[in-house]
Amino acid sequence: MSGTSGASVEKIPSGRSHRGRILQQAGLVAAGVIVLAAGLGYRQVLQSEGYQEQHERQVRHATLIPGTRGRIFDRNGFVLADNRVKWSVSLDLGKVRRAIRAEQRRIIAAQRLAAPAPSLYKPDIEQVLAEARRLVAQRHLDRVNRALGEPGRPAAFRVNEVALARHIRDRRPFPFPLIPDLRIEGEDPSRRLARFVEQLPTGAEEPLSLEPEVVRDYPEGELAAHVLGHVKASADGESEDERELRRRLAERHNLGANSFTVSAGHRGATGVEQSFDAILSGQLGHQVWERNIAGERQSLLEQSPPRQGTHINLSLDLRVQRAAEAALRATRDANGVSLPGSAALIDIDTGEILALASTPAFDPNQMSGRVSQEYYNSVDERGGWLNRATQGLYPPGSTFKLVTALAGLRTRSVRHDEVIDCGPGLLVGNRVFPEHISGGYGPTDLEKMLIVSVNVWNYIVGLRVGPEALAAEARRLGLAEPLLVSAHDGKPETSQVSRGMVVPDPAYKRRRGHGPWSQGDTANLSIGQGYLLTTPLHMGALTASVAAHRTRTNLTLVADPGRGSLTHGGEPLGITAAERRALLDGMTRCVDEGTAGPVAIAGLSVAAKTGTAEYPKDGAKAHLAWAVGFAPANRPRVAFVVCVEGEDMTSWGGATAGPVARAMLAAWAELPDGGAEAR
Amino acid sequence: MTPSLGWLVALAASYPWLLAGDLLGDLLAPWHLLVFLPGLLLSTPLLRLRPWQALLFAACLGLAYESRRPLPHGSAAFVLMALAAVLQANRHLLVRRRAHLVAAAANLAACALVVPLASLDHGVVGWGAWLWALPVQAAFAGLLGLVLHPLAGSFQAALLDRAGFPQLAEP
Amino acid sequence: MSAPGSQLRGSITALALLLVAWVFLPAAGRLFTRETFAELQAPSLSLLSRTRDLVLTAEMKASGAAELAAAGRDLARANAALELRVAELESAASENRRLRSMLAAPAFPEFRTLVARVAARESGAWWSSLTIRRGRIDGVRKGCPVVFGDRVVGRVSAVHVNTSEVELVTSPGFRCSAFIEGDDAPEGRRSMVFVEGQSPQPFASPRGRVTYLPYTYSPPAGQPAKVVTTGLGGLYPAGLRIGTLSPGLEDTPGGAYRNGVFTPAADLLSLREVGVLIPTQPQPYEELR
Repeated sequence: MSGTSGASVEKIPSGRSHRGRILQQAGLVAAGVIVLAAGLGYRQVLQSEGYQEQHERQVRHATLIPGTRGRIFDRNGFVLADNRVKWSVSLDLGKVRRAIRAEQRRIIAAQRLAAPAPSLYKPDIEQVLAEARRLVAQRHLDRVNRALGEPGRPAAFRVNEVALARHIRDRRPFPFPLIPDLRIEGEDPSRRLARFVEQLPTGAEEPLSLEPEVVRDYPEGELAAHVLGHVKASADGESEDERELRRRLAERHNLGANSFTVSAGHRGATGVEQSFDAILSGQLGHQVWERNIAGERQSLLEQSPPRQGTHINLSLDLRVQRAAEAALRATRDANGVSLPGSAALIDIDTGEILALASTPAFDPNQMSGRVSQEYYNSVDERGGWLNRATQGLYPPGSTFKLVTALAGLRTRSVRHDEVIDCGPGLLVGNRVFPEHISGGYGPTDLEKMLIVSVNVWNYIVGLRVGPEALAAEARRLGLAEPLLVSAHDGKPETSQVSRGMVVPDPAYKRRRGHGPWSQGDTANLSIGQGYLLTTPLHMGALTASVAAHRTRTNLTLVADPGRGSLTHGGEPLGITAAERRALLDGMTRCVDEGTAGPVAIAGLSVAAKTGTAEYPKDGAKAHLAWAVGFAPANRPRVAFVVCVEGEDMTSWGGATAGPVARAMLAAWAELPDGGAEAR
Repeated sequence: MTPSLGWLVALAASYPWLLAGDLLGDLLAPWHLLVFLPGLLLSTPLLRLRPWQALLFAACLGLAYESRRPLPHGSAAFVLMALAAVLQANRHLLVRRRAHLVAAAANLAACALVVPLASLDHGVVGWGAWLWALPVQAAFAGLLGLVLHPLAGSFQAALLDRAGFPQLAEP
Repeated sequence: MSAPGSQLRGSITALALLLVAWVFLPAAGRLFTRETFAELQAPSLSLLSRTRDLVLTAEMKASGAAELAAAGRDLARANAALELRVAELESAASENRRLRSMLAAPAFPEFRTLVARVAARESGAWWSSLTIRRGRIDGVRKGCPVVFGDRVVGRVSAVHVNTSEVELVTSPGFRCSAFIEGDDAPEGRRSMVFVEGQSPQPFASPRGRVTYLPYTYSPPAGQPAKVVTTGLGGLYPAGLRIGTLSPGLEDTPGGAYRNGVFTPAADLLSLREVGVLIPTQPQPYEELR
């Protein structure tokens, strides 16, 4: 045995000196061990500077976790807005700092050598740094390319320099998304994900990582984009709930402002996403962690799970909406130019909007992350941000003749069977207001007026009624009121509310400083021109009201099975049965033999009124093509409105707007609960 | 044999015990017990080697131990070298009757120092492991030291004696 | 020699200097020493393992003739059953090839299987490791998957001339893609999950994590769900068993997906023999690690 083999030749020290020395040595040993541990640790720290940052962080840390947004469905449960996990490949810039510095030195050395006078060479540090960053990022992206591709055939992702520069400026502490979305149209992302996780290494020093993010997904793309709106990444402390939660946690755990992390969340920016944000976004959850010295989560001190937001069923019907948008997109003027426009289909009984379309539109999928300026500009250029159905302000043109007729009948200024002789024009004051065909229509009653849209009849009736009564009738039918305040669980939908409508009267003209009201103004108003401005949806609601013999239609965008028994407010239309019959017959014959011919569908009786209004477009006069109406004509169930902005004077109410209305009605008629039984 | 090759002989006398440790480790794998022996193999050769040889021997022992394990490279070597330096300076402890205790303590200390370093290379181990797994592992290493040192020590001593490296005289 | 105290001081100083030198030693130098020590030990490990095999063989040789006859009979039966299976599988494989060529689907990387004996193994509270008796001269490459039958063991983490180290499926740093049994979605739309090792738990059987389970996933009733390889990542062929999902899934913050824990399918602590799958075509991971 070791202790006994060989002679024991040691001299054993004794007493205090011995103990003192042991203490001294113990101290030395301790110092040695500390040096040792520090040395080993140092190497690790050198290899990943992230460790050092983690040491500096707070020991307690709170993470706020937004709930997943609720989904948005159409009235039948087809998904309009969903959530999906978006995978991005990110590069931790902190872990490649040394590589970037080395690259920077290399570039400077190379530039110095290439400079005409090396001693005078002064590097542009910022530019060199950016280049070094790009090179290092590309080097890592090439590793990803190799991993994602088959052996010998790497993928071909390139570093987006602009995005990198912007990231450095705005989001430097966060990993830079080398590939912002691994999903590529038409390809299963699983293969890419699988190749990434199996081909690339993991570990504390690996700068590449796969980052999941739950993002909004609009499977139908541009469909109903204006109604749905889009989401945007939420800024810290944006909502009242979040501020309150932060305050509470900070107090309870003594946390500083930088002890919070907020997981990526989204807030509604426009449309239904915005107005129902409180419902859709659910409840914020949180976790408070105690961290160990390496910055790793050690123990969970407190948590509350986030709750997913409530799902919402909109009143839209996916199939009708699709048909409406497709037809609007197909609208061309005589020169083949695609025209902007809008359309709506309204359930007359319940006021539910079955389709609300506006073209051109935008793809909300492009808007949920960081929006590219190019995309924003391209949509802006096309005028795609405006929801023309609710926010577009137009003169209603001949569709307003319904209001003039109602005003005439209600004020007893005209009878439904009264025949008025209508010439080629009417002299009002010292100006001739023309008919829209040369020669005029001759003897005209209410029905004929509606069939061929006789202007002179309206001038005469409008002048008989007077501007005040005419404007009063328009107001009675809701043309001056904001529209579309639907609600979900008591929260109103406000994003689609229209503003800026004008129903002019003498007082209005004076107020605006346009001088006194003239007879000519009355004549203009009677055919829906002049100062009058309204939105397509207002005209749709008005048509629905007229069809249902009432003055108001309470519109909504939210599906509600209980709406059947709803009272829409307002009052009865106030015309006799005979007058009503004449009105409906006129509108029905307008489709069968008059200006609304293109709206006609075999097997469905449709009542309609078209309009071709003049409006200024880019300094010149152009035509607005209108069509309003309802179906089936004898027992109205849906009302429609279409408004297309012509480029010049070659668009016409029937010819341009008619086919869009027909497409919507045809889609509605195909529905099992729709027109199928109405035919 | 040339005196400068003492560390190599010591290594040759110690390595079979490392292998035996591996074998034991294989058997004990289902119980999750780590068979740690390098610490106890230090003490006997130290009495027969010059300081620089002792350091070299400890380094080689450490490198041999860590080469197949997820330890930061050099960690076991430096821990053992530090222990060797300490033991070298306190050689009187190694020749008394308490030598087994000292060897066991050295093995325990080496285990307690080396093993946590694995977390540097192998992901951070939870607090639970630090609080009770480390004492258990270290205590097991100490126990192994106590049980195996008489055998391993006499084996090493015999081999070194035969190769011509007798115990050095104390000043 | 001077007093012990000063000697200690001297040694510690020398040690500190060596440590500093070590820290600044180029990585290649450190790698060299590590490799050298691994190689130096390889023959002895190999010898040890062979000796053990020899002992085992001797033990078997000692068994009586009756025992052997019984074992032979059992094997013959098993063999007959397996041959039937092989015939079935061969026809399935040819059908598979035909369908694959019809669909022009990419073929999975083809593998060559190399059987390897386990030379040493360790399982502490801090690490688990496996050393196998096959190395560079047998064609083993870094990153090659290691299996036991149709079960996943891990992947090769270091290759020496005659031996290799295996990183187990439960080791931190291991990661692969998987499908979960009981995910009812149709074939093309099954959601993929990730399987990764985790920091070892003291004195517990090694386990790993399953992450990004779909929120809608619920395990099949009555039995633990199997976790199998996808074959999409190029590391493993499809359909190998990785493990079974332990009950009790945890919802991730945000509620978008769930995480779970799996128990490895192969008994990592008593394996005597494993298969190393060597891709016939080099895979990117061999250079990317």
